[in-house]
Amino acid sequence: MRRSAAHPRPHTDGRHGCRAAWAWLAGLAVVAMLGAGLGTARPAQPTRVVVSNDRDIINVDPIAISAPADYSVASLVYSGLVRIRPGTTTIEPDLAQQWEVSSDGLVYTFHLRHGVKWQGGLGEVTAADVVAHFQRAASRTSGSIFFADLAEVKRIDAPDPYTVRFTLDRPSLSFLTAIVAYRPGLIVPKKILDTNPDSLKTTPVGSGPYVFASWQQGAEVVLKANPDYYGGMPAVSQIDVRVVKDDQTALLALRRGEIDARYLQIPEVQRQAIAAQDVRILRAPMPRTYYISFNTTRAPFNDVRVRQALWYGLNRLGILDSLFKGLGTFSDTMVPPTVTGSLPGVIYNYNPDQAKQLLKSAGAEAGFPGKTFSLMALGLQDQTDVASVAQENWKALGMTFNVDIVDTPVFLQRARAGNFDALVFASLRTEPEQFLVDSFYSKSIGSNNFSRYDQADAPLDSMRYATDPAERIRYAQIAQRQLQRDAPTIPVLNSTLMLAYAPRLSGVKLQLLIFNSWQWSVSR
Amino acid sequence: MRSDAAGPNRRAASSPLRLTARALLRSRGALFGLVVTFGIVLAALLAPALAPYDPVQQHLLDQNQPPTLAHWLGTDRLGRDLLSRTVWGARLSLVTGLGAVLVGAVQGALLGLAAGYYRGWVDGVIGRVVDTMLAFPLYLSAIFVIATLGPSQIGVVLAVGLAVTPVFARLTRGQVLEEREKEYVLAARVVGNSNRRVIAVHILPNVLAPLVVLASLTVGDAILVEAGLSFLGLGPPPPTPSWGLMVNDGMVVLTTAPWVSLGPGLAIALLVLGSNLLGDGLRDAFDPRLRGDA
Amino acid sequence: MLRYCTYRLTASLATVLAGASLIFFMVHLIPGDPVAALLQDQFTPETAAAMRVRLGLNRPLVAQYLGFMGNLVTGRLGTSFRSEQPVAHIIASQFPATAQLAAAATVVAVGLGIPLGMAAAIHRGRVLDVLTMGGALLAICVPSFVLGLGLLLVFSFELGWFPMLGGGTGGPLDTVRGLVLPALVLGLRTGALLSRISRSSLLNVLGLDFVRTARAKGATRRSVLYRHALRNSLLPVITILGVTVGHLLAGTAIVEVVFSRPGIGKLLVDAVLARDLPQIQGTLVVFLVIVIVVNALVDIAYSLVDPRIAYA
Repeated sequence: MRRSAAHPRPHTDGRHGCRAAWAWLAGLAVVAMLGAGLGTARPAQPTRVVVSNDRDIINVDPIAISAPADYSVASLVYSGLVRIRPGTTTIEPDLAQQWEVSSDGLVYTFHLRHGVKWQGGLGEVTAADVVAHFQRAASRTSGSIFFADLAEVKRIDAPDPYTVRFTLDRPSLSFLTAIVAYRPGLIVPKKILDTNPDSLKTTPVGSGPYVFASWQQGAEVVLKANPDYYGGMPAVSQIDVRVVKDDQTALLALRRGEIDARYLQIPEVQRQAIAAQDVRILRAPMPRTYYISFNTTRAPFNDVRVRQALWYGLNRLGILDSLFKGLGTFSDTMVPPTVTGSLPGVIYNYNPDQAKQLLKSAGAEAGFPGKTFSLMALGLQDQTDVASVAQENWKALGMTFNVDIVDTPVFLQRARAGNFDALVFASLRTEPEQFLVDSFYSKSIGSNNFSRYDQADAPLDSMRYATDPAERIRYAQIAQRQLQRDAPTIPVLNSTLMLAYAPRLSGVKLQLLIFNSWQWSVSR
Repeated sequence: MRSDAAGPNRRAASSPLRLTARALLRSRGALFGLVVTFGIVLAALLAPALAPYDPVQQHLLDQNQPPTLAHWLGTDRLGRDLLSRTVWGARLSLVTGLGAVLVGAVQGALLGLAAGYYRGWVDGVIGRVVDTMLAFPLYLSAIFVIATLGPSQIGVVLAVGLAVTPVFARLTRGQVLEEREKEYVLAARVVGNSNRRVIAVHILPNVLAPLVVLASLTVGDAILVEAGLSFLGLGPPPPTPSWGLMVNDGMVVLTTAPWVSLGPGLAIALLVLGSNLLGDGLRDAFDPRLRGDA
Repeated sequence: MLRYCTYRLTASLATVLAGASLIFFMVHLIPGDPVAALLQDQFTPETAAAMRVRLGLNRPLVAQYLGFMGNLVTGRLGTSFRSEQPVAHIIASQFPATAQLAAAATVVAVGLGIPLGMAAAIHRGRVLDVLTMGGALLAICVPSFVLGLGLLLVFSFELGWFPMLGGGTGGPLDTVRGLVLPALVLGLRTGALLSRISRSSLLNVLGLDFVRTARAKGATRRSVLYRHALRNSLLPVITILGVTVGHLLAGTAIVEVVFSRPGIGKLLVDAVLARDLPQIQGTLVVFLVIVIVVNALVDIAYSLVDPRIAYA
């Protein structure tokens, strides 16, 4: 199966921690940024910052990271060849000072900085490290879960100790994004790969701004500033990452000064944060989107009119106002409104009459009395709330749904096997266009294409292999329009990512944070 | 202080049942427990009539309301009426508690009867199994079984039922060991009754009393475990009006709308209190010494 | 004596093995695919298959069982699915926090429960008795998470007397401050049970013949109390202490969640939610071993104290 290996995979919401940690990262990036010595004439910065994840780290080996909490720590300890400048979508140099692409788009050559040191006295970062790392990441047998991302790489070699050359099978606009300092792009020392690779699971050793100092399991990770960091010693000398499972407790702790920053997802707690005088807020425009997907292979959800009816019959404004306290937006497409190329406009305004008309034309004028359908959701409050409201709304159309709460492993299993009628899920999309492929491409059925939709392969293929960004956007829009018409999935709501932080961290300027910006930058 | 002074031609004692009932009613604690428990049972039985609203009906315009005329106990996060949810929740808690205890008692009694009556290797095997299960704290056994069955109400009933089985088994066995040496049992066997008949007709009725006491004492524990499991996310799923789940739901608005958590929390405490007092009272009532007739 | 000890420990060992087997088989009946949970959005059929082989999930159940038991006998508990670290290490790293909490809770339970219970017995029927027994009853009936949330809200958030978050680094004073509320919540219920039992046990003893005899012989009330009654009434309490360890361990899950502390109770709940089978098995086995060992020790101690007890 040919996968577009290029993009960092979008993050489908899964377990407890998945959601939260991803986004506080953004805040951490900002914190780290200002800590990183962006300027000398700064007001006194706290030298020790306590941030909070809602889950402990489990495995921080870059080739196996699948959870935000793990990434949040790894991203501070490691560097990549290139990274994304926070607050932008621009790719900028990291370990690689500059790079060239051959005219046929098949060969990428990176020139490494000289004198970048590994932590722990392991010597200098050289091309040998980079080659060994990416070979491991691309291998199917090393335990890497990202080998598909690097499937297009034919060969990696190091013509000299500071040059790394990648040769691809076919030109790809997204190769650079694939190796950006995001999960598999985080580079580990060859010396450790040779002697004790298993230690990387719990003891990261990198070349980044922070050193992994200690880990009290279940409670806290302590990161200390790396004095040898090539970008200069970060001004925040210690970051404590504490585990606090629920948002409410975390906010209370924040208000009491026990932690300094936390990403909040529960709308009710977000509202409290807004109302609290002793807490500052940072809102990210990159939303977390809630979806309802239908199983398009099961009757009556195989009838597009039924799906459209349910879309019209869902009071999304009501959900936004009551459940999310107005903190968010809704749109009619899978690509969030803040991303270039997102289809504007809302067609499916809440209209129960229209919904009933559609049902009637599908031969179900009174709905489906006597039948009960399953609406599967994870046992996370925000998602079960959305499911509950949907259930209520659709009851009025004569369709009775049973909210089926399951936990993550069961959810994913049933979703991928098509063992549901409808489901609610939430995701933070790092790369929206890749998300379209992941969720609606026919080859993703059995993986992340829960709705089993397969009618958009043509525009999606053209989009993936487009050689120019404008063309890419054009095809993306074609695909979006089709998805809007065919309604395999309803985009319910784009909720606000919110970072709450303590006033003592002020000086954090409000920035447009997008999802790729947790790779923090250092001024040069 | 026997109040039924017997004349020579009167039967020597009132029936044990009447004695028990009287002893029970004398204790203030037990009386209170009786009233509270039956009150809750009544509320649960009459839930459809008592609840002014559908417990899962959302009123999204009225979220997190404090007690008002429209909603006597206020509303929760999704605008659901708390009075209705509490009343329906009583049903759930009672069914879970009683169901679990019933499951445990029946299983335990069967095991205990077999072990105590037949002795020998049956006793040995059952004894080992029961000991293993007894080693496990109630909560952990329940979590363990829930993990297998998946979070659900029936899962909780089975989990807690399984977890309390060994206690009943051990008690029953002890009682059976005592009873089987008594004359009426030996007589029944001599006459030729089959073992099963002896157990069912002769022994069982006489070991019922302590079982009932243990059952009433265990209901409280069962309800607490159900609440705990729901709180941890391992119990019946939303929007079920399970009291434990309601407390968890209300955690998010703890500082702004504490009654959402407090109400069901108090309800749980009340039910457990009632059943515990009742159980204590029953135990004291059955105890010949305390009842004053030994 | 030695024979009894040996017998008791052997029996315990058998129980542990039987219990561990039971745990293994039940855990493997858990629905939900652990590999899907582990990989989340990196899931593809190929990655999943590769992971299954690495985790040994493709072997037949019996082979997995034998592997598990073999490991158990040598003291290994398998490898966690999520972190690929030895389960024994993970448990060992989080165990001290739970042990700390359990110890503190035991201090609360024993320090409050037994004296109050005995005082209630001595002053039977009076205010102290009523208050103590009333309080004990309430402590047993209020769910621990309700109590915990209430205390957290009032004493940590509103008043700020105690930190809201447990765990983390800090000096000994901080650790103690952080332990007060959780230990209270965990220990109060057990303390209530202990107080009821010690009360009734003392009452029983006070009514026994030998006490009456001592009184008849002219011993003062107080000396009777201390020399005869108290010591003898402790026996049932010791038995219950064995059971309380079980209660305390079980209660740690909720307390650790409410107070955001690390520990093996929370570890178990998280493992169940994440279908981390080896972690679930390992943690349950550890719990089992602790409870059984404590019970065995209690039985042995009991037999030391009361020479009338031979093995039943």
